[in-house]
Amino acid sequence: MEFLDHLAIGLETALSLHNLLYAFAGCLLGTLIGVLPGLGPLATIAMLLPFTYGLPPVGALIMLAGIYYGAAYGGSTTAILVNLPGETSSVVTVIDGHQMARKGKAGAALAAAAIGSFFAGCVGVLMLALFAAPLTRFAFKFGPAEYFSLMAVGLVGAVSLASGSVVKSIGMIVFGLLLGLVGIDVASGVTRFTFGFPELWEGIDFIVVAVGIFAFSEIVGSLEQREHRKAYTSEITTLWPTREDIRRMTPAILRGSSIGAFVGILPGAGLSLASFFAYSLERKVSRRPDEFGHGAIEGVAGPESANNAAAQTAFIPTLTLGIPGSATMALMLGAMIIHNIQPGPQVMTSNPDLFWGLIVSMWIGNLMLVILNLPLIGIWVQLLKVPYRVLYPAILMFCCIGVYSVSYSTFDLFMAAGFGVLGYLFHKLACEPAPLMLGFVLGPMLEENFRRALVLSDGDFSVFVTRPISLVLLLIAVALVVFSVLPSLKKQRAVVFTEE
Amino acid sequence: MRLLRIAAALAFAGFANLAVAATDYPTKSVTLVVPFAPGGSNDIVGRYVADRLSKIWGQPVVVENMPGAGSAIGSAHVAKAKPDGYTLLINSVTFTMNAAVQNLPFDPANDFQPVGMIGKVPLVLVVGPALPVKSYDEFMAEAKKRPLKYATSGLGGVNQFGTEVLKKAAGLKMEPVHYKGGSPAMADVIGGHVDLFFSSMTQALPQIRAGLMTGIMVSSEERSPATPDLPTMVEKGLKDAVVNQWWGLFAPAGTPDEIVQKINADLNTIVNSDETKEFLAKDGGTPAPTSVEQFAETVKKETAKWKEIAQEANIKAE
Repeated sequence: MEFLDHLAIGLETALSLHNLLYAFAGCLLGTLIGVLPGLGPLATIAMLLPFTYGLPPVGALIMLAGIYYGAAYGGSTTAILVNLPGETSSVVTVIDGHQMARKGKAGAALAAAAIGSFFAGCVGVLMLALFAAPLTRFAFKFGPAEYFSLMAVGLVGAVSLASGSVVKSIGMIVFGLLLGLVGIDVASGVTRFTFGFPELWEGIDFIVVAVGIFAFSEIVGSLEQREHRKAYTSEITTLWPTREDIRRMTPAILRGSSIGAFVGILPGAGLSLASFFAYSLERKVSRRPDEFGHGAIEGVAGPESANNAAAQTAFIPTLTLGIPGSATMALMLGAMIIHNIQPGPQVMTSNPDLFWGLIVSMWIGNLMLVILNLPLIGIWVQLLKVPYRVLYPAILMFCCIGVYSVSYSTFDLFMAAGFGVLGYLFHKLACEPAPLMLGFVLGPMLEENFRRALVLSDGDFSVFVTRPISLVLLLIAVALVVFSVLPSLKKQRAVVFTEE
Repeated sequence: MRLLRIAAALAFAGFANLAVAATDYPTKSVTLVVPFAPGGSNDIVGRYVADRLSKIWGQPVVVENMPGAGSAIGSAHVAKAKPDGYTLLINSVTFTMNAAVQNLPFDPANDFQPVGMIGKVPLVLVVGPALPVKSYDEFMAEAKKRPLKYATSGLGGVNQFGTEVLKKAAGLKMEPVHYKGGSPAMADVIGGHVDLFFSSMTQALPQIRAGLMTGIMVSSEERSPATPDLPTMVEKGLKDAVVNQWWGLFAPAGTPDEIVQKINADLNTIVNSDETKEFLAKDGGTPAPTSVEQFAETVKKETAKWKEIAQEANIKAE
């Protein structure tokens, strides 16, 4: 019954008029920056942090948290409608979401994203409320060897992100891995591929690459072919998913929520990884793998659920331990310190109103978001009818603000422009950018943890197979390779036989 | 004639104005560059000081975060700023360490005028389940038995230097495992993957209090009010291993001495207040008022010391 007491404390805090307003303000702002490509929760929270000085601590945290998970919500909108990810976590939503929009199913895609997000958000909050402590203990079992093996699974799965040629997709992953190497090497302190620019010491930011490769290149690419958009805005048939859609997206939402909730707990893994994993999984288990890349609703529902579940469970290590899993979570901790709350394992007992209030407000926030977003679908779809000459300069401007706000550096803007050109080339060469992004995210983590694991084992490679979690993950990776190679081997054999 | 006299008087007054201009400082808003992202210790201390300075001066002190390349981007910006006292920098002990490991886009010894120290806080040596020792003696016994693995928050950071000076003073064998920041390093010590971490007080205190980590000792001369039962380096006869994490204000080199002295005086008013004592004590820190000369001497001495340690311990980017 302790849980009910906690719930009561939480409800009392979260339902106060002020805190409801803070939650609403946070969610609204989060949705907005989610919709705007480039502008992410990290920069927004960083900019707003000084302004929260004057707010009561619980209210400030409720609002900042709302921005964080609200952004994961809103990111899918731009991905589906305009083919550019509003948030880094919606990079994979672009793949199928926009194809659905082209087929006149923009409304269904948006609804799948919103419903999936709401369900996943609830799952995440529930896990946070019920199992925060045991989940934290589980996350601790992940040492460098386990992280390496998890990243290996991700990397193998990355191949399935592309629907075109496997060779091209591997090429893009490798290129992404190389991009991830830029900066000071964590293990040796050597600067790699920095060309004498201190701006590159800490590596290239995800937002810089994503905005360049997705947003800038999409805009340039669309300017070439002015006509095609009309074609698919006029044929929006229905705003709501059909019964068949719902049947298909339900299991995807369930799977996405579980994967996302799991990845979110691991410090350092991040929301984008959750959606990458979910997309790969959907594609692997689907009976219609050919539809992926051409508007499969599972490809929207799965990843969108995953990133929202992760957005909630990412609070677990932050709240139970005071150890942030990402830069955004580090900012949340900073906000606590500013408000005289010592983050750490005692927050739960020393500030129960804050801990439970925040959790309950997250659930309320999720409810607000779905109420906010479902009726807005009709309005968002109208966005498709806004003429390019108005829409694109606006998007470009917001992208630039977003990129600049990452580290207040004009250098990043030029880099994003460079990636825009690169992205345009990829577009022309029919190379899909999603595998590149995954390589870019995974590469540094893969390398760091690999070397860390070996330093810890004094150079003994067997550490990856003697630790049980690591072994299981590696076996999954091997199985993934075997399952992807087998069908094509069979096909080749079939070809060989017919030729005989 | 009379008109001429008035003109002369006015002109004289004008000159007089110029002469006192330095002590009039500041007559417009001052920028305090925090070379890290918002939310970290430099940012929190920086914003605290900026707020109190603006109250004393009656001019806004605007905090500008310029993160990137450790603290090199923000520091380089201040190094190149006009030396008029209107662009200041807050930086920490790592400022004196960076130069020992990386080629920086500025000269930390000659491009800056140290203004004054704000506060200091010891590091605290913590261990997790991988090294189940409870006291200094147990720790030393174990450390002499086998080479330990210590976590760092990045190559050439204060945690690594702190551990290296301890290693040298106590004659131990330890090997660094590098992480990107203090948080993942802490997580792996708590998870039992790495033996120890010489952590900042801020990060370690909640974990020690919750029993997830064990504090072994602090790196300072005196015991910290936050961990009164942990012994110090000096108590254990390791005087050479004393390290303090500190924060201080810097101005670009060539800033007029009157202005530097004035900022130092006003900074010390803040540092000496009970409010500051309380503010720093929350994370185990203490105020550290210095004169301009004392602070400059500290910066110089530490920069030389870390260069030497880096060479001995072979901490360099290669």
